[in-house]
Amino acid sequence: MASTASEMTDQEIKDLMRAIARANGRPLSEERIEADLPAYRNFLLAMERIDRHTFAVEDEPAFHFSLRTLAPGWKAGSR
Amino acid sequence: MEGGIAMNVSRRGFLAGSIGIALADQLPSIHAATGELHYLTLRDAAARIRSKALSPVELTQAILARIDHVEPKVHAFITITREHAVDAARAAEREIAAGRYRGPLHGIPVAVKDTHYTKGIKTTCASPVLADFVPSFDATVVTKLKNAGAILIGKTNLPEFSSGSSGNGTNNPWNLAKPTGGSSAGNAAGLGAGMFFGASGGDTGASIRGPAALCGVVGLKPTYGRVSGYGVMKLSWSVDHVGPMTRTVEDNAIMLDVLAGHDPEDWASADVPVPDYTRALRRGVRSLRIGIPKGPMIEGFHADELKAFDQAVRVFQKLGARVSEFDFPPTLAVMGDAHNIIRICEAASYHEPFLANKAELYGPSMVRRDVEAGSLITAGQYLRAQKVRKIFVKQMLAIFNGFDVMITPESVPAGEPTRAALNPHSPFNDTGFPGMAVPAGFSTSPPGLPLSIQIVGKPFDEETVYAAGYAYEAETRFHEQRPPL
Repeated sequence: MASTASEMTDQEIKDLMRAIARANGRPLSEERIEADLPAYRNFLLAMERIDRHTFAVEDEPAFHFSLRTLAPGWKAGSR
Repeated sequence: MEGGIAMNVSRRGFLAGSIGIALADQLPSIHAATGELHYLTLRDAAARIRSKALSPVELTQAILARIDHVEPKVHAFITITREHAVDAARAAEREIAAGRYRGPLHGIPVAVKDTHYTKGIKTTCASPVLADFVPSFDATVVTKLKNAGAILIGKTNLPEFSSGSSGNGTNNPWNLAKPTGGSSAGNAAGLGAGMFFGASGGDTGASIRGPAALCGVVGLKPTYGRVSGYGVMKLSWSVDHVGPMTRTVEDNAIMLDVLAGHDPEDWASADVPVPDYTRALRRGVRSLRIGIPKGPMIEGFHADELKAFDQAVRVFQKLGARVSEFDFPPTLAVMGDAHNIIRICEAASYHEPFLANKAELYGPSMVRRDVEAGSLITAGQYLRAQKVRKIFVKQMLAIFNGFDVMITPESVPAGEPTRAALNPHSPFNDTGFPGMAVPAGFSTSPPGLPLSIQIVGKPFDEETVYAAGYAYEAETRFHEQRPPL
């Protein structure tokens, strides 16, 4: 089995799509897997390029959950 | 409906209130000038309304007449809210006559992209999936526009679910055979064609700036969180921006003054004070530090656009700005991929209810394919893309320490391919920095199509973006040209 997206055959990618869709609780029909294959392949190739980067443990994703506006004494316009 | 509402103030009475009976008797001359009203700037229309030299009803009727004339060619609208607009204009006229002037948007016809919830008015996102959807509440920006007294003239066209850069049948007013760009296509084309004075659009990877550039108008993607996205249909929560589109920089600042501000309904909304953007306009650009991308990054833009960009640099230098080059960080190379993963993964989550219950209703666009494929991206993959984004944001902030604004070319003229290494748009969605497209001339090959430059600012520094744009616009006056409609 190919280890990278750029090496994977269409059949391997479709098997992957089928499995992930089932695990997601949103199974896809064979017709939809066929239709969605080009887009999903492009996403896998994009991830392959992203994954050439080695992340440090300190690297964080660019979103943070905040309850700042619920802090006591907070009011609109405060910094 | 003329007789349907008790009119306490006649047209003549409204005008006579401040300029005297003699001038009110000149109503026929005002009617004769109606053909020019649709291309007034928002500021000028507001000044006339405030002084009662122009009635909101006259202005709205002039706009509706303009729409009747050019809409069959331009196709900017999904829904024209004609009766609503006339009713709102009459209400505005009564208020202003009674001395209750709300501000520069009072009585001014505006439009919103058909992603913006409008209470009681269908909101379709240009998709059969939402063909019958009528929201029960207004988007925050719609509420703000209404509270400012603006007249909602209609809901504008876009590609299905804002996906893609096509105009979805909207035509470019400068050449009806040319594209408008997307996804705020109807906004840009409608402004260029004189069908309203301002519009609210959305931008996830170009969708305000791109069509603004192609249609020769001004479009601002503000800082992320500057304008509430509550009640605006989503493409991608963490990359979507809502922002104003107008024909001039000053008009844009007038609109942002109304639209900006914290909204507790939108958890991404920024709790940052809102300055008076119109006050910043005339600061000038003397000693302003302007960064431009190094040559290799922008080779591949259309030759006319590169010439316009070069000329824009010279204009800023002539006005006293200091221009120097910068390199984008190495992460830019992979940020496009990260943007696509983030965008489609979030879009897929937004679309889950539609995919579960209405999948067969999606139109012929690639939306269903893309969001279904996006739903297969794992959480780990999404988070790695967001980590790349954080690294990129930090690197861009460091670069911006050396500048006050950046300027970049835009992907114009309409319909011409761009082979540049630089995507001028999505990096500034990913960083959340404000970016504004401003008219920068017209192409020669093909002839007569708008050119544009993008001015990018630091987070929450729309003031400097506006100051730069206003100075450039005042010096070049490209915005005064009109399409041959």
